[in-house]
Amino acid sequence: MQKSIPAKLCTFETSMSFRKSFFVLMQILFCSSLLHAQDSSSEKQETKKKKSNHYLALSPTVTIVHYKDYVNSPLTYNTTGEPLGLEISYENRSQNHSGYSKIFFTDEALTTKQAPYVANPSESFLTVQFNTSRCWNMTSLWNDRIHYKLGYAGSFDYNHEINLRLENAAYTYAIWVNGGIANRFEFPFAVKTEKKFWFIHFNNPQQNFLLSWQLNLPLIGLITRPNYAGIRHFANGEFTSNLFREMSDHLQVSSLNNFFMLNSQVELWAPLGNNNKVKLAYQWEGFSYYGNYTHVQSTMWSIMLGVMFKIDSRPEVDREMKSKTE
Amino acid sequence: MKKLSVVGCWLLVALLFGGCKKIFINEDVANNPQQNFDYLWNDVLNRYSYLDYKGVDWNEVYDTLSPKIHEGMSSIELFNVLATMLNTLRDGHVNLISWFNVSNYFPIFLGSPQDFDSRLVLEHYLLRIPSRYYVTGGLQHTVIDTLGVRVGYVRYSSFVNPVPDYDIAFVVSRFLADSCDGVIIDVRNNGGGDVGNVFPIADHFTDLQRLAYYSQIKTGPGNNFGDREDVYLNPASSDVFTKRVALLTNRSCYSATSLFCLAMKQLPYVKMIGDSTGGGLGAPTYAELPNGWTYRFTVTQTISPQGDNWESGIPADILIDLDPVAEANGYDSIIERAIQYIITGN
Repeated sequence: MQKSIPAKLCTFETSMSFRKSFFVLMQILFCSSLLHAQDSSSEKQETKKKKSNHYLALSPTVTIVHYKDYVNSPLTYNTTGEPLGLEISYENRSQNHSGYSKIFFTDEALTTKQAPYVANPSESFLTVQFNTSRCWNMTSLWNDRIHYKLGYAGSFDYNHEINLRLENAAYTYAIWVNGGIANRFEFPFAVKTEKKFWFIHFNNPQQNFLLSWQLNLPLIGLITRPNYAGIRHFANGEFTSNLFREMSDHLQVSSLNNFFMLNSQVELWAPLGNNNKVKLAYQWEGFSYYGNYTHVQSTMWSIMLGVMFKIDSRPEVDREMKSKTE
Repeated sequence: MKKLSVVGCWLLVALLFGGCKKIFINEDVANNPQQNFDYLWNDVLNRYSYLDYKGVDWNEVYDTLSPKIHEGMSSIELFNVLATMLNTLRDGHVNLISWFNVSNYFPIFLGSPQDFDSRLVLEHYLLRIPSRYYVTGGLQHTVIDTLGVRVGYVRYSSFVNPVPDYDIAFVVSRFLADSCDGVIIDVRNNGGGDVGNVFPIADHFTDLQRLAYYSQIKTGPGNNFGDREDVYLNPASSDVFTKRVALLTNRSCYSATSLFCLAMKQLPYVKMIGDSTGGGLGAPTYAELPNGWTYRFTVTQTISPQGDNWESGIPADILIDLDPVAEANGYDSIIERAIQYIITGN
């Protein structure tokens, strides 16, 4: 008989072990980089005052979401329509650091695997994220070809589902702010373009690219989720005041024991005319929050193609970075 | 070539570290009859707010109904078993909703006199003087001259119909302008709706701030409830009627209507006349089963300022049923009793 095991409280040992593995990996990376940091500290001092390049990037995205909110359903909701999003980012980069501040949002239609068989309509899902990060040079790998940078990442996320079939429980949310460590690997490389490529004649004999991978691991933050009962409290029928009250009442500290999140982004920066760049990125993000009956789990994949407009041209920075690349 | 290999390795590593859905999202609960049954049973056990109050032995329900679940049973058979399980809660706020059927617990009002005849009310009261009959939004109202007094009568048939402040303010200002000696608020057969409509109406009959009721929400499995949330009646900023008010009810008054009655009952010049309400003071939530069906059940408790839990119905102050003989002669005995209260105060 299954009744002694609440079906809703599914076990998550598998996820836990993965979480621990990731955490251990991150710690190793963190510690090793600290050791190397001492070697590169003198270099940091030298380049400390050098200015960085700034870009404003607009990147339309195709985003696929998987979202499971145990407050009102044991089913995973998956993107079924409108998988478009937009990322607006402000990026800065110098010889000794890389950083960004981004706003990303997508508003999608999600549904379950069961929905087609029971004629359930889709629900709407909105996520709005603000992320900021800055990483500093720590060490170089593979004969100075790969640069490892370590820094911080902070994020504010607002996620909501609106499933009108669930009336009083139609609106569920996961809102958090957190901070953690960011690991960034950069691999600048150049492609010779002296010869004609297909039908394209390049002005420059060499095109400089940058391939990077950043992995963010939030460590601590604050999160708010709906109440255990899964409804806004309708005692006096007011909506907005009750909603904000509940959001603040249910604010909880989140750390690795109840909230695990990873954000991974692979980016390829390619040159464009007038010091601008084109950005092709693959972003992946996943999180699990284990609250009291208010578990929520999600993964999100995005492919982005954007243009990075250079908003303060500093040729000397370009020259230095170029010479370092070469 | 070397560079291309490096790029390839990077992408591979990035995908490995950032592409696995299973790291974060648990597998869905299997969609079979037993899992659906267990899921629903557990959720009610953990989150339903009136198991103790209603004295339902939920384990016994499991033992009785679980043997009826078997692999290969049809959706209709499964629906019937799950609906039977939910109906043991004897709660009008509990439903199972599938694409082919919706379960309800009806006996709340089916075993009671109807105590309301809409045709009688319309013909003999609202249209007694047709020029006095107004429809303001969701409110039907008139002024009745009878036995030497003027009585304002307002009928509100569903809390689903929105009542903006200007609608109820107009009705009350009309009664004040017509120097009514009392008001009858008829919410018989009002099955509830939006609680947001309760206080815009009630506040126009409130003399001073009073505690209407308090509510507690489930905060964990078992009998765990959060802090009480006090809800107050506050006098409207204008057009407040504070003479005698008769509130007409029957067993078909449910949910938001019961909350309205509970709030109005706290006013000393208000009398509930008719039958007790059907109850339904707890707020419901909705959830989804592994097979995609949805269900609804109660997750809060609402208690009167005096500590009464009237989930099964708020008792009337003056208990009276519709008299069929009077009805045949064009009189609604409950309205007539209300007029008597307005005249005498008893």
